Amino acid sequence: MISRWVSLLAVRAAARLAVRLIKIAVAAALIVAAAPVSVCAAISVWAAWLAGWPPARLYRAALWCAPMVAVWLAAIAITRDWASAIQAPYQAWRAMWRDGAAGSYPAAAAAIAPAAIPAGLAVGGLAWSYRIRSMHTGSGGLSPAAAVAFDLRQWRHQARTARARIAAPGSVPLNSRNGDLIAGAAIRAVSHPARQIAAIPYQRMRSHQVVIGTTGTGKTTLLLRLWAGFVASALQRHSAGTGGLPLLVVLDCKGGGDARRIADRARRVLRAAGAAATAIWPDEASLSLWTLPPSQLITTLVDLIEHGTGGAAYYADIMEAVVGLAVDAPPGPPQATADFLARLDPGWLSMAYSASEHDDAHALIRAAGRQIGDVALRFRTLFRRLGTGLDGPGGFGDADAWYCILEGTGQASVAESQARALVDLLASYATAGPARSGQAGRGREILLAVDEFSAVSRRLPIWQLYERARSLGLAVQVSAQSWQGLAADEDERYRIAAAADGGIWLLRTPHPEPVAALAGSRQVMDTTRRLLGVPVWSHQGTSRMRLAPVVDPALIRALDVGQAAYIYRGGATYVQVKRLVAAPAALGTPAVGLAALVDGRAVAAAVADGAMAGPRAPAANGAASTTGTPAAPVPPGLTALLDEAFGKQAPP
Amino acid sequence: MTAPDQPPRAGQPRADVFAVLGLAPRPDLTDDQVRAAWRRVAAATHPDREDGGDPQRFAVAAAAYTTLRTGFGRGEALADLAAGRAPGGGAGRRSSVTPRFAGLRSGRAARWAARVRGGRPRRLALRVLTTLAASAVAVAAAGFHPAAPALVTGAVTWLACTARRDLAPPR
Repeated sequence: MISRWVSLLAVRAAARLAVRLIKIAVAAALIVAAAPVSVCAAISVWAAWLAGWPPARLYRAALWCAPMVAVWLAAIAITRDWASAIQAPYQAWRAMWRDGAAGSYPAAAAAIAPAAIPAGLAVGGLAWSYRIRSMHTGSGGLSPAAAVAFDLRQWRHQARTARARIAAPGSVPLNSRNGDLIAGAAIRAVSHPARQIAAIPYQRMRSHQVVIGTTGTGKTTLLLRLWAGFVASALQRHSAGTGGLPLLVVLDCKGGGDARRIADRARRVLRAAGAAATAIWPDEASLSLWTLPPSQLITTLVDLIEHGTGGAAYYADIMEAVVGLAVDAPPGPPQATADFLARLDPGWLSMAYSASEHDDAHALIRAAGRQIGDVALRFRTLFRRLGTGLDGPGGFGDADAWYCILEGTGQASVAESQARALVDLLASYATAGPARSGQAGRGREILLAVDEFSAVSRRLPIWQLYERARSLGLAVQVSAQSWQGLAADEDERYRIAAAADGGIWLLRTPHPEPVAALAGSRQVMDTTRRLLGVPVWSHQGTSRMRLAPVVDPALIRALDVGQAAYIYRGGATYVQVKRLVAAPAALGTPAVGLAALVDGRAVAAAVADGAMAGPRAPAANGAASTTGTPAAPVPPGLTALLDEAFGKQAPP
Repeated sequence: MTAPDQPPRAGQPRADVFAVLGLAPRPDLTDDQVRAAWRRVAAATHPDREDGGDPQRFAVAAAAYTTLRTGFGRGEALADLAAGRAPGGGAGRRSSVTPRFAGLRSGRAARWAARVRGGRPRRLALRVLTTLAASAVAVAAAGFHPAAPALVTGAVTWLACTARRDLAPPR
């Protein structure tokens, strides 16, 4: 009985072995018979493995062979007949073996190549797809750990290919022809279409976005690229008549020397992208708080001053009443800081409201008389600390981009006031029609980019900024070094991240889990395999579907410099961001031949004609670039230049 | 100084407008300092002077003052100077950004030449040589067989598909 059982086992094992050998022999025979296709497929799979390509890349390559196949078939049809063209692959296969047997290997290869190359690429694509699928499901490889090793190796290969792609000058332009922004080369896509370049539609830049990445991970490079892409795309749309002029406002809430360096880089990049002028506030440009509508000006001025609640609310009410009296005084709203401070005086207010119809105002002045001096003192202190950046002249319409540096690290309370005032000014500008200020903010496509806004968000919570921007049609891009830097509390952070309908950019950060959780999960197949003996696993086992996160937090923590994950609608695309290298734009130099300028009249004529205008002549002269394509404002004529230097008298 | 009747091209380092007015390129220059410098140069070079002045220098100084008279202009000029000096920075390197209205003056051939020069010409040449070599080998191996033109077409298709990445973006 036992011997029969043993012999039966032996027979079964022998039969299994025989079947296996036959399978291998048949496969080998097929591979040899289709040798050119097999060789081409093997090479294409090896290339795909080495470069980390998706199978679609091989399929596309096979399709690109269509011209070659068409020419081949046409040549056969012309030199022989159409029937030969139909039989061409078989005849080529026969010719290949015939030439090969005769020892003419180059001729054999050339004869079969037009058919073998596309077929090999297609077969290679199928084989590579099978390999990827088997590794992802855990059914491939010699051990279950092979899948993990395969994935890590493929990531390295994909990242290397993406780096090579961004190094090529023509591979990753700033915008695509249809106006999409191209952030860089795609490394890998999860639940997103697999593409070679990572492009996002322009409309997503008109929605809220979040960017998170620690220092030194390439966050600034990414932001600069997004800003330049936004400006270039918006200008492209504007010139096509499908959109308004862009306005980019960057609030750098950290400040410091690093902010100046980034501002300088931003200016050069944006200028190359088409921005006629980039204003750096408060170092080189100023804005005027006093252009706000009176009602808004009162609210803003009161909010600039720190005031408490409870018992302190009494003094806040007095301050608001005094500020209201000063702003709404019959001579009109104040035009400058000095004008406003001069009004915070009982005598001035009494004089201004001296007419009989202002009895209510008189009552208020009498009631608040003792506190007016204190209010004036507080505002004097505030404006001394704020500097001249908000005292004009200037407005957001003077430039295509504003880089506002707030010293949130060094002078937090000042930066908070500045942030509040800037947001109010921008909101006012965004709603201002041409009739009010001559600067048509309405209709402009505005992107407000705030970096580390949490440093200055005590007086203006960031979610409030979000909501306000949404109602005004502004897009807000919030960037932070970490999840915690997004906002003050967890509720607010989730609110910001969840409202980022333009997507979330995640660079290397130590705590990516909350954002990864927001990205959602996807269905993946998981396979368990039977262990036959150490370390051999069989191909028998069970598979099941399970949910896996779309964004792997471990991968985010391991991202290299310049790599980012773009999370959007339950999918993620890993991107190697391409750094923008902007050439210096031309400085203003005489476009006329100086040899021709033999006398002062010629010089004067040249300047008056604008021939000597710098391409980025200052916009601070009030020439708003909002009514057409941003162009350099016309500089003052020579007479005006000389008058500036010498007064109204002519030089000697 | 750039040749007066040949305006520098975009991407070419420009004259130091600060030097024209005798100023040091510093970010903390004030409007008053620039105005004083312009006044000094204008007084010394104005064509209405008894000695005839120096119209050329006056014109250049007027242009420089036009640029530097405000913080905007000084910032932009400083950015240009910094870009011209930055190691690995902008000077001499092609922009990957497509500026508006650039390239309108030059013809199609000039644009293509500029794209080749601004890209990776050596790699492009290698691709072209590879295509030529592959075509020559295919013709030599296949002779007058229909596979020969097909393989040449395949090589040219490959060149057309891959050469773009070695060209600078269109301007």
